[in-house]
Amino acid sequence: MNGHLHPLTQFLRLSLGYFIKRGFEVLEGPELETEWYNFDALNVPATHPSRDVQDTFWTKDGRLLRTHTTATDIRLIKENNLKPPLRLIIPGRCFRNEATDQIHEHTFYQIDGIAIDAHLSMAHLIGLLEGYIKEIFGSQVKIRLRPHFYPFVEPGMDMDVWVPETQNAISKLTAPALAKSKGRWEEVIGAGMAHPVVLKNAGLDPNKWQGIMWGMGVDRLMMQYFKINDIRLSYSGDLRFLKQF
Amino acid sequence: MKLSLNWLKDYLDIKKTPEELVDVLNLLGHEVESIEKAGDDFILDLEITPNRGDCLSVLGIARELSAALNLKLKTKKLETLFKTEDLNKPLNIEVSSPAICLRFTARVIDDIEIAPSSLEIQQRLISYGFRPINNIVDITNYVMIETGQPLHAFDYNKIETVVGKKLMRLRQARAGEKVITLDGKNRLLNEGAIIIEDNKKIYDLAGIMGGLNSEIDQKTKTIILQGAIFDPILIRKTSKYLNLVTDASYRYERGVDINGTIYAVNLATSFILNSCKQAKAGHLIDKTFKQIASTKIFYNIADINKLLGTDISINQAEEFLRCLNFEVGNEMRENIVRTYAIPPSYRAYDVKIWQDLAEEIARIKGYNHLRKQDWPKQKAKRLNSQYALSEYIKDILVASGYTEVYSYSFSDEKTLKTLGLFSDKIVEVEKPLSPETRYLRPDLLPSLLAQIAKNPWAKEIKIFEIGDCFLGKKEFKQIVIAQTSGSCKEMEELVKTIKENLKVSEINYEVFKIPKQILSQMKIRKDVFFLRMDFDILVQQLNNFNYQPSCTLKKVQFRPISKFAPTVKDLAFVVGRKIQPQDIAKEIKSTDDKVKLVELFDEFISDKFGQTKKSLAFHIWLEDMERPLVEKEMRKILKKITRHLSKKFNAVLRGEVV
Repeated sequence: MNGHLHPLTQFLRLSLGYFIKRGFEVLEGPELETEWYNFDALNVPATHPSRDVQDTFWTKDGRLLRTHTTATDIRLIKENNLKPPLRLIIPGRCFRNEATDQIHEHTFYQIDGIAIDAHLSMAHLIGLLEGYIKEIFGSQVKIRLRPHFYPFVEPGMDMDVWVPETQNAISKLTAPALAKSKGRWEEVIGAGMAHPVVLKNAGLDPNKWQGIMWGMGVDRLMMQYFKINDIRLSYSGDLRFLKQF
Repeated sequence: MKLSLNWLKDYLDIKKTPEELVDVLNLLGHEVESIEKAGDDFILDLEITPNRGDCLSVLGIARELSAALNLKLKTKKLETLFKTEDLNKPLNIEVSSPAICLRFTARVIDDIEIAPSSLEIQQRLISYGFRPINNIVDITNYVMIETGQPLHAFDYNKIETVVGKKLMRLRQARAGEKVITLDGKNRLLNEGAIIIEDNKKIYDLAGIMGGLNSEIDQKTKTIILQGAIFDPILIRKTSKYLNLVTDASYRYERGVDINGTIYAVNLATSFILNSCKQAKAGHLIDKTFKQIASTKIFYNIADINKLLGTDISINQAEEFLRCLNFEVGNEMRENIVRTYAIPPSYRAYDVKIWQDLAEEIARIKGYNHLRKQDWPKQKAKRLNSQYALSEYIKDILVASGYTEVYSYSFSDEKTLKTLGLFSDKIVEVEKPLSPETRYLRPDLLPSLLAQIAKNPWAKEIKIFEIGDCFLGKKEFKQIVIAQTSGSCKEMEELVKTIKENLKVSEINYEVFKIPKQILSQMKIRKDVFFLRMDFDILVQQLNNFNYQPSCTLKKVQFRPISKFAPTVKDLAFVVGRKIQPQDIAKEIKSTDDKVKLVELFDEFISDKFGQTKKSLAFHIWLEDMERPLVEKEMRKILKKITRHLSKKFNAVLRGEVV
């Protein structure tokens, strides 16, 4: 009798698969990071309040548990001396030092993407990410973009998906039903054009290269996909949960 | 930040409904977290991103909406509202270094009368989340919310007179200095905190909180109304050091408009004169110690279009920027016409490079009106061997009956000591929120045992995890497998299977049975066999490993988990050999919503059941969301299942395996 793959593994494979088919290479990096890669390299100086947005697990030896897989972007490019054109997709475990409840976890997964080329624009970024959301939730899904601030991108944005108030997963609704549905917008992806400071920190000339970057919380998308009501279940080890997948 | 719609209407003639306004704000990048009706008003709760200090006010949001909706901003003409006079109450303002206080604007107001503030002011303060105190304090708070400029009022008579003038000396604190703040707390200051003092005492923790010894009280007659600009980084350092965030420090950290002090001080003056009929306003004092000028940003519209993937004309771009009060123009430089934009003073902190202009242009155009470019599919590159290998091993293990778990990367002292894993190389978390997140796991053994302990009702457990461990400076991956039945020999067989599948000669692994006394300390009442493999060594051996895992997700109608323990019952049926076990399982599951899981655990073909028959045995997990299930109810469900299967598949109950 077969066992079960964790739903996050399944969802990661589905998500990575989309990007792999578009020329992206999967890479991974450490969970225990340096302050520089997690913050400074990404244009998040200690002197600016943008540093406070994320509650961080610091370790006594002065390192930290990465608060986002974006930390790994610059590390991989620098350590492997990668040069554009670049297309990287980076899945991994991230951490925030906060109390947990049904919708908050101190442990979660992110997928970060970064592509650097001479002519990559916001239009490419939007097209790529819309394509991803449609592949997961169906072509009828309602999407909107909002400007948002992430210190490592400029311009920056969030992508929201319309989540109807029904028991059905979004992918099971027809377009007219979705259009009429009551519900709410939920942020699913943060993204933007790589900030010149970040490109410089990656050892690249910002006058020559343009980069698109995005990061997404895998747990919430997976929960949306399967209609799961508690973010903590993934890490509970409860076989009643795991064996359903 | 809480924002009253009626207050906003002081600055804009808004025709839109509150719901429409929520959309407009969201699409400008000012996320509305909630909207609440309060009498004839609506209160919005906005999440202002840390780069936009200029939006932490009614005026700031009004400016944004004015740009987006093309509405005229109605700022109040204040100089004409009151007259000032010579009160003969001079101040001596000294600043030790221009870098700590960029601008100092103030006014003395005499003959004030402390009283409650007007109902409208009180109401609006409450809608923001402030408690009304008295007219003077309320007005300074009110004007801060309206304009974004933090104001402070000192009791003039509590400040020492030195050579005929009230002394306001601004300097940075030395380590060990103290001030009692308005909340009554004695604050031990960090070196560098900005304070205001006379020759006798420190009486203000500038930009964060006033000092108790210069506080406005019931007897206050004369005040100094101050609206200053302090250095954001110094304010942030002190605020962090003291762990004290106030509405003032929050705004200073994010940048306050250097050209907004006069408007704020005047606005507050006019409110105070309105509230205290006898009051007399002194002349405005305004000293600029250090000017922060907005950057003149040169840009090329072609670069902006290349970044955004758009074809916006220069005229359009300039129009968008003008809406946002940017000064736009062009000039000749080295024989080339260069276009430039200068942000308004309140955007000096966040708009510095041409990419910032691109964002502003895109915001006013509307992100949802930007072009999209499809990404063509292309031939997939091979997966990197580390990821391919971990996914391959997962697939082998799942095919061998193991279920994958994800457990936390943390462990606690007691567990680590029980397992003999505690050492001085364990990585410790600086400020853990609970004992469970105090240490990073040096091994996956504690993780897996904890997961087994969480499933006391399961008849047999076969689980695995691939994850990171931490020891000293090292971070490394392990593959661990645990099972509650079978034997060490069975696990050795599994290693052999993996070895054969991977075609490697050596695997660094350990197989062992967990001692009973450890299990009982972890509240596990089953045997546990354990297999641990070093993942990184495998990766080194297989640096050209290639594998494409399947990306299709299982179709799952997820059933929520009860907080009550489930019971697992086993049933075996004799059915026709052609019947698929999953069809039976599906039927069992649909019998009752108390059936959470159905697992086939035995399929047995033997002539003793008849030449065309076989036996199928299932674990059936039963639970109720609201209460524990009793035996009688479970019997009923099992009977119903037997009946259904008999009708639909001609299945014969072989027995209940107890």
